[in-house]
Amino acid sequence: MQKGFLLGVDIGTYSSKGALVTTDGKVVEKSSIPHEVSIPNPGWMEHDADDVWMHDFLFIVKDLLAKTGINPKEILGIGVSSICSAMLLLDEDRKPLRPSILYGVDTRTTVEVEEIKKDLGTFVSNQNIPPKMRWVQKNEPEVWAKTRHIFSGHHYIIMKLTGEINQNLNDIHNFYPLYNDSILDWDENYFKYFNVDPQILPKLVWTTDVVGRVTKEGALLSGLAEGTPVVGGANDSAVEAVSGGVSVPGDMMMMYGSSNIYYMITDGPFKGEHIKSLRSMTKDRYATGGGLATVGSLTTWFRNQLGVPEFMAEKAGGENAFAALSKLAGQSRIGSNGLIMLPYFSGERNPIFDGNATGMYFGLNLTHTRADMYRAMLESIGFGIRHCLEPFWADNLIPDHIYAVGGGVHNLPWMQIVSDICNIRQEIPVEKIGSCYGDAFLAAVGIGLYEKVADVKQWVKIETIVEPDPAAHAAYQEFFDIYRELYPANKELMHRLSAIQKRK
Amino acid sequence: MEKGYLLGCDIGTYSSKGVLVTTDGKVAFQSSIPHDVSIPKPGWMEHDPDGVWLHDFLFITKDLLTKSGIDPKEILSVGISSIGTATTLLGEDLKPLRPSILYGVDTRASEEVEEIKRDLGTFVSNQNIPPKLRWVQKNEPEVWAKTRHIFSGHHYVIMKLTGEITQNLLDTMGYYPLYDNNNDDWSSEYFDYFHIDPAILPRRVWTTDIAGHITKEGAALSGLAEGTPVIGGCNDSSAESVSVGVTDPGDMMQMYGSSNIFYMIFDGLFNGKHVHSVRLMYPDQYGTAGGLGTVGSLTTWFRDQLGFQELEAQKAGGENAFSALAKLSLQSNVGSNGLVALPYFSGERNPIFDGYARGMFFGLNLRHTRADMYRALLESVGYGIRHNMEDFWNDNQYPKHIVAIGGGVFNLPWMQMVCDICNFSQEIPEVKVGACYGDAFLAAKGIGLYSSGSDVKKWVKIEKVLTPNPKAHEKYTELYQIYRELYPINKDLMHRISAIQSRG
Repeated sequence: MQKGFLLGVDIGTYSSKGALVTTDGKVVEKSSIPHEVSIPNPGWMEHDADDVWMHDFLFIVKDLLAKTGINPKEILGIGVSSICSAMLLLDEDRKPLRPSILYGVDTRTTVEVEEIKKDLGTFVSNQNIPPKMRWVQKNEPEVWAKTRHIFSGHHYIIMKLTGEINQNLNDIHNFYPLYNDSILDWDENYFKYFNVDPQILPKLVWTTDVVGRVTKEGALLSGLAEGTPVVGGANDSAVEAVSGGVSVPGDMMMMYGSSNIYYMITDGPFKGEHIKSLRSMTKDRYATGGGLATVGSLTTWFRNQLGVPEFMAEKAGGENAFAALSKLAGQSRIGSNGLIMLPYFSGERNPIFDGNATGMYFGLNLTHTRADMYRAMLESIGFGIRHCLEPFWADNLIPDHIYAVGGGVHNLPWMQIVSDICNIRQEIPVEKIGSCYGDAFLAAVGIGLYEKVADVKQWVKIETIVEPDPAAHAAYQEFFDIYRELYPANKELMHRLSAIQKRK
Repeated sequence: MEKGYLLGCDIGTYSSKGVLVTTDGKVAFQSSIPHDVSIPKPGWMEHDPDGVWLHDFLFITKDLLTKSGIDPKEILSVGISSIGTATTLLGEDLKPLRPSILYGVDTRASEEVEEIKRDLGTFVSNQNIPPKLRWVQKNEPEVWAKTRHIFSGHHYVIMKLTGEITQNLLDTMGYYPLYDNNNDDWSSEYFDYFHIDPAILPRRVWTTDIAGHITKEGAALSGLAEGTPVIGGCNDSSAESVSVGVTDPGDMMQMYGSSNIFYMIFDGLFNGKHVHSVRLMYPDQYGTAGGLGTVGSLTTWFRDQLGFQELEAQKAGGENAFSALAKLSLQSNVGSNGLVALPYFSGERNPIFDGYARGMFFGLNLRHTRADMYRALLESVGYGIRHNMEDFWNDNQYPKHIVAIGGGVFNLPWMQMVCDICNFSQEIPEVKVGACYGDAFLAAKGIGLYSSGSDVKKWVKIEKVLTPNPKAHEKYTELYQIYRELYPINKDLMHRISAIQSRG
């Protein structure tokens, strides 16, 4: 294998991470930096393209070069990923006209979503870019008038490095209905409805295409070597799946980050009663995904609100609070002594798609302890994932391998809880750094070191296999049954209460 | 007024308290001691008569004699009260055959309650003694076979002091349907059904009757003077109502102890659609009582499970943890930012009478704090009290005065929440020492120092009157509606989860 390094960088919602990886997949150095989301109004979430994305990328590159002392020329290829469908609008000087409007967490376009559904009779959500365009047209017409380029997320960094403006074909689904996957091109039927001059639309590229090379200006800006190839990249969860070795039909990723993302590759386009797969990453690859809205954000909530003993001990130089809480959960037992939680602390995505669902603790009695409360929270994620997997099973779409990734995998008892509840085996890779590792691999494919994305299996080694315990699975059944009945029974009251909460 | 002291002692669920009071009602000395409740299984609550009751009485008596330095002969009379209907079974040797099974907070006899209701077509609850007798007969037949005496609570202490086995005529209502309150006699027609040999039933005495005089052995045991009269006493909530001057028609007590007790005096016998009065402490006194199962036990649960920082600060010599938690609740606001708790952590007594009900935190989102959770628990008690008050209001029974008492009244924000939720005023008396103060008055009446029960009003002064805030009341009302709907919707699921919990 050729000598040298691949650079992978991922820009997330609350932090960015980067890695330098050898051509045979060894991480030689890592770097990360946190950043903020601006919330100018409730329901709005924005990133400044220069202050957040570009700033983080440059920080990470400098940090990695400084830490390793390598010659930038030793970097053979660059892959960048980011949060998906973060809409960015540039003027004729290629300067951002306003901060980027983030993905579905930004719910400002609820009115536009309804209008589009009504007018076009097609499904869109706050995750899609066209409603965001429509919102700008209505609310910031002067911005729209000056718009000469539109694309999502990390393509801004690619442009700064290479001078090329493009849009990867993995994240293109978020331009629906402006993009038509069946013709692999923009759908001119909708240009008029969305007031789109096709001139402003970016060039379409595949994830592993080399979309450009670092220019002289890009080299000056970043410290990278002029001429270094850069690939088209993809959104963070698709790349996270690559980093976990998810690459052939039957592979599924189960990511335990601040939220949960599952992502499964299917054998061609799949159209079941419940599950549908879409083209993903490369022309002949199809996948389906979804996820629970709150996972790490729940355990973080618990640590901050109810985990003071552990948090204080950590601050005093003791054990990591999450590791200590994970031991605490071990003091309880299967079913948390009859305490059930619903994890809908931020509404829920899959499978109930209810932004107004709320969390609950159910079945409390005086013998319950904080350990029961924490374990009930961990179990609620297992119940939520099982709830999401049931449509797969109902469609007879059974994953061959489930790769668990994300910060949650450091909590092995939790992973065991999920495996037991769902009766699934989970494989945990050695390398847990996440998306940026997948970015590095996409760069390696882009420059021809590997033939196809599926070759990532040569990089990914499995560290731990979590096998389900049939007795535990059986013991969880009655709790899962109650879990499943709680939401339908309480849905209306949740909606009423959530309306009261939002009024304040 | 004659010189000398009255000794009052009350044995509560989590602590015992005693006072030496002058004959004109001044508290001269106080003593208290905490104790534990054993919870061998969820829904069970027990006290050991020797390890808890007698131990506490002896400790308090010695402590008061030491602190005051008085000659035991200066104690003119002794009054004792205890938690109501704590079923106590003695063998031939007058020794307890098992720990005492506490009042309605112990919900183990829920099955027996249903059987009795079905078999006899009459209303009983976990508060009644006969279902507990039946539980012992079914589950511990060897205990029942050895049972030679049954009575409730503090009569064990009276027996140890005076050698007399008695049962006061107020708490006989806890024996319903074995006891007929209207005819003031045992209902022999039920002896067969409940397998009762009348020989095991205790001698009945009125609350202010002298049950006996301290024997030589009792004096040796306790340090009290031989020959000192001991009255029949009564349950703690009745003694508590005396301590706050609730003696005449229209007077109501709201007690915030480990549980809640409401206690209202009626003008004679009242038979409404929802509330019924029964004969109370004196042959011509009528009233009704009831309460919520968990009040202080909820705040204690919260402190012990989730109040780490407050408890640590208290242990380090800082502020009392409950008063720190009271301040914490003020960081939240009316309605706990849309978080609603159900207080049924130990099942519930009034008004739902469901031992299988369970607690909930409903409406949780990521912005909720520990302050919201604590406040939601405090508010849940207010909602529970309103739920009970509605029975009175629907029967057109409006109390003229509501006097609040119990440890909860030291938490003024909590008392204000209850006033706001229920839209009523509450008066808080100066002397908050509780039931033992009432015991001292009853002891005084027992030896003829006072002729009427109402004379206690000469002792009681009001310190503070809390009035409801109409705006807060309105805000609470919409959350109260949700509170009211949660139980019916979740009742069946609660029963299922509580059955799983009881399986252990």
